[in-house]
Amino acid sequence: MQVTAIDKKAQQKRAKRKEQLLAFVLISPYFIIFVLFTVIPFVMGFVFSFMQYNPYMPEQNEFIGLDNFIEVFDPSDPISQRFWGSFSTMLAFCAVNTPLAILVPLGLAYLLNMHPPGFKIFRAIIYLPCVISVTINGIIFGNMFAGSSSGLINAWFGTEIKWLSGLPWENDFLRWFVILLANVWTCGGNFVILAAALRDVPKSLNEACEMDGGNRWTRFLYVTLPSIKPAVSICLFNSLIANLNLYGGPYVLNEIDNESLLVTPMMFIQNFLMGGVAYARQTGYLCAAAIVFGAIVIILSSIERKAMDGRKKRTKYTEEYAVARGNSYMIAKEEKDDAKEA
Amino acid sequence: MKKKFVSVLLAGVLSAASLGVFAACGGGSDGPITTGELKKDENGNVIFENVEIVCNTVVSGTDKDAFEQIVQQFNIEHRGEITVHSESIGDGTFETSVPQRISNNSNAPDLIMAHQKVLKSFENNDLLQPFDEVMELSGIEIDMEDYAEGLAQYSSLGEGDSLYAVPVDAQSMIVYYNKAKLEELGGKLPETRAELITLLQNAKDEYGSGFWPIAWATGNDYFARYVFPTAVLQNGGELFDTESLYAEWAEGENEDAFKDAIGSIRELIYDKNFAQYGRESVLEEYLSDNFLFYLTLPWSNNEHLSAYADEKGINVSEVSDYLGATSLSGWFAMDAVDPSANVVFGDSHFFAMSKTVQDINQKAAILEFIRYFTQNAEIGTQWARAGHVSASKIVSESQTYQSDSIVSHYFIHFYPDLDDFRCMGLTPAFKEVQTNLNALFVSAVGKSSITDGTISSEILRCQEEVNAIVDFIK
Repeated sequence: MQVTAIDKKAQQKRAKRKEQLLAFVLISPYFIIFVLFTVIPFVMGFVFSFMQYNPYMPEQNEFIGLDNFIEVFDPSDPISQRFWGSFSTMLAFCAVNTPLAILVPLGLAYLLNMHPPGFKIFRAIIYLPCVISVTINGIIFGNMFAGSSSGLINAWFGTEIKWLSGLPWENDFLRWFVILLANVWTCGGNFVILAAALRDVPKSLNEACEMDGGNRWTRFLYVTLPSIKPAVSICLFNSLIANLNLYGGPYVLNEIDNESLLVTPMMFIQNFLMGGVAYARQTGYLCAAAIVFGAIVIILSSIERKAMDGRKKRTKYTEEYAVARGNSYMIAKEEKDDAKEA
Repeated sequence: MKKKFVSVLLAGVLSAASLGVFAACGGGSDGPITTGELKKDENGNVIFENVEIVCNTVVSGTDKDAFEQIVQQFNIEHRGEITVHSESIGDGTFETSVPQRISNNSNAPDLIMAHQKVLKSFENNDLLQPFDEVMELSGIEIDMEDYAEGLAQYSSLGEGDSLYAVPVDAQSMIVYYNKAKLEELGGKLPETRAELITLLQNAKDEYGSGFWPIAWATGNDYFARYVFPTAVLQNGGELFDTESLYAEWAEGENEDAFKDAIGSIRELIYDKNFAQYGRESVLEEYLSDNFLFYLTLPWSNNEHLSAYADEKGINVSEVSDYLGATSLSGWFAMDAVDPSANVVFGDSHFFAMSKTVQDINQKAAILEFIRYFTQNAEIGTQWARAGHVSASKIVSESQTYQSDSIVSHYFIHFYPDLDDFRCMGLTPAFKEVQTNLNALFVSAVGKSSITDGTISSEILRCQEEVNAIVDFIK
């Protein structure tokens, strides 16, 4: 009897091990790629940031401690000034595009949630641009808004407007407009998440609000919005990260119509790292700049997460709903939402 | 808690170990190594037996076909001796991918054909080796006396008397003129800026609105890249100090040269209204004969001639009855007697040898190929027809070159004296110089009205942009 129990235990152990092995095999392709293209480059970059490093002249490589970081934070260094200057580009873009990346898809999802005629077609149309890569998106918008008469918009209107080029301080608005348009065009990802969240909003809550005399706007503000908060939070987080790492779109647009007029921190680092052999001697400094940039992105994202967490307050209607359904139901739902967010 | 501690400890150990490994990577770079022995015949000529060399070239687009044709011809003529494998790598990635290949010795080229401006950075990072040793051992001589002085001056890459790079060609903006119109205006091409202004004024008076004495597309990137530096150099300016590498655009006489360059272009556009600003193409004026001078790029010469022939309903060979060729020499020089008044600025391809080549037979084969490409009159003519004027005096003085219909009608007139041809020169910060010249051109020439003070501050701003990078990469 005892032997059978031990056998059973061993069998369970074997089965568990087998399961673990299978899990390991299944995740190994991703894991290998993750190690090769994320972990190793990160460790190398981290190490290089403490070195005077030139990949072409290894005999000159030496450990220099925090010198590169000190240089990055040196306000009198013109290159560091450019690095920090590129943050203003990034932050300006974040400030404008992050709300847009939520508001536009939310508006569209809200409208389509009313199920107007042909809403399925619209849903597909709104999502479709998401399938296109950032590069292709940049090429499409770059060619549409190219400054020459070969640009589609200029060709249509017979104009030669320099949408993307010219002096940075002269045509900023037009260039930003094009980049924002290109980014908003690909808001399909957020649209899908928000549309799904809107469908999950309990009808009874809306009805309760309506019975209390709440109009459409009030219902949206006090019922819909709090109910879809987890989805908004996810979208906000994703959009913020994407905008902080702004690179592909402006890069392609710059390539099409001008050179390095729009420089975000990612572009600043990449422009030098991929700018040719002339900048090889500054690899260590650039790695330090990348580490600093990464740290700032982590801090900003954490602030965003904290801010969203801090707003976990029930509204009047969710409170009443909780009373009606029982507090345990609401607590379970909130836990589920938290898990989703995480 | 324990697990967390172990993870942190592991990460720390890993980082420290990596730091040690990478720091210890400085094994010291060996200089170029030469292995193997050369076989020679009784006359002392090297005997090649199935030597293979890989060439990475920056040449792309339509020129690539011409380049590959020449390589193929060489391979046929040297069957069983030398085979050249060429790979075209676009301008955008050449500077990153080729150094990586050489540095890692993975898929590394033996020979590179690059623009002059990038070679100093290659040399600074020990990616190249000089030709001196192989020339001495093989007896295959490449003498810089046989090449235009304007280009040969960059061949040592600033390393004393060593030969690191061999000039192949030259290219800059080319100028066609309308033969019929010029004939009506007296038939004499201008030799100085004053003569140019007079001629253009006559043309403007004669042909009125819709006609542009100069049809140029300043919106084309190459305009600012070639014409603006040409204007600066013709006025005695320097793009950077050859010793310190700093841009000194806002200093003393150099600032005057920059201002004169800007003024000379502005005068043609705004004061005299001889040319336009901002157009990206002026093909319409060209095809409708509404121009006296038309500026374009040399590698599109064939397309331009064909388009013109199609428009007129004539053969391409007949186009030379309608279009002549001339150069930008003296166009922007405010002082006609300035020794640099006839300078033309542009790009030039150079051959250089990768540091990875060790076998003496390969090194000699590389020299043989370079000699073939740059000193063979037929090949030089073929390459010129693709838009690249030969840097070699042996080629340019040959009968084959001078009697070729396309070369003689057009190419030998575009930059008539290559001793007056200038490239970017030996600075690793060439990109910044180029970008900021471009920015300066746009800011100083782009507006119809601008004060002298604004021009001065723009020159200073662009100079500081360049010098920040010079400090960064020095």
